[in-house]
Amino acid sequence: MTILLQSMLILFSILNLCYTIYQIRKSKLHIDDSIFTICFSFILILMSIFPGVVTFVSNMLGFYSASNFVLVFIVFLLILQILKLQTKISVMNEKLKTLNQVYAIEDLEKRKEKKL
Amino acid sequence: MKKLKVLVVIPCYNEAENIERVIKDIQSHVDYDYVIVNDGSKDNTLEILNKNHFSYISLPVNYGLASSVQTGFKYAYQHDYDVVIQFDGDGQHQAKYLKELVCEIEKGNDIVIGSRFVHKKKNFSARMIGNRLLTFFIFLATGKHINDPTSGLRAYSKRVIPEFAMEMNYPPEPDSIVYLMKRKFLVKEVQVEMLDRVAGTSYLTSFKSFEYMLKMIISILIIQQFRRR
Repeated sequence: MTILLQSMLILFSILNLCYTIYQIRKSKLHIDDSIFTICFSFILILMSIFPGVVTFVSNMLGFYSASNFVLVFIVFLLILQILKLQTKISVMNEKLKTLNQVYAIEDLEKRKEKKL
Repeated sequence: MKKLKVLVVIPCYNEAENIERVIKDIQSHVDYDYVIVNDGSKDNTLEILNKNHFSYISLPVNYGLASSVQTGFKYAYQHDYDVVIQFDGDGQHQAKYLKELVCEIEKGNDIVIGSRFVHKKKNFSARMIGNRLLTFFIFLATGKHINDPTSGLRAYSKRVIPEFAMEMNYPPEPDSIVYLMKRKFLVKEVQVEMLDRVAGTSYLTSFKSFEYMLKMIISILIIQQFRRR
């Protein structure tokens, strides 16, 4: 890993952390949802501080260079996060649908009661 | 001194086998108002609540413990209650300790925790090691000892009810307690005994407990340090 890549990763991670905490302070983000971003940033910072470990693992797995490994690693983590978000959106959609239906059915029941 | 208006909030999810026993226990020990928050149970909990004419709020969609407890807080806020007690619907908590909790609130504490370990020692099961870790991290963050941070039996004073009722990121979990302690609210622990779960299963599986611990540690050590005071 080059020094430039290392410092870029650190800078990006710190900005990411600051933004996440800023959002929580402003009550715009749930703590539950911030855990991934915080872990992600810390992993990137650790990878930049200990490039030796990254080089070792990337050689073991047969990557052409350590920076390639870093990229693939980040892509994998992001795919994981997308999968999590996908399920979360589906579950939310389902809950919203149920709420919508419950409300509509209750509305009908109320109108029936009024007529009686 | 004016008698405090107390509301016991009982979150419950699939507790059909336990809920009657819990309400009987409460009614036989204290005359506080109570409200059951049915968190979209999939068994016949709702039927039982209706049959017994219990006072309940039924959420149509399951949204988790934090949301159920907050529903209770909203109700308490709207009806101007002085004390909210969070009391599990699974029969692990005993109503004979409620008076003691309210008594400590009367003395000026803001959060009173029904703690299993004020005088007693923790054993070395995985769960208690997790409990110890949380106690340690809370000590790191606040300099104070909370012996049983994961206890779900807590009383809250009128000063904190609006925050729990209205604000985001106030789950009834150890990290919120850390946040309130950092804002100089008074937290006190009272020794209680808890029973083992009689029926039903706990929602904590081993992977979930790991996730929970990770979340709590990050929240206590990092996030709560930067929140608005």
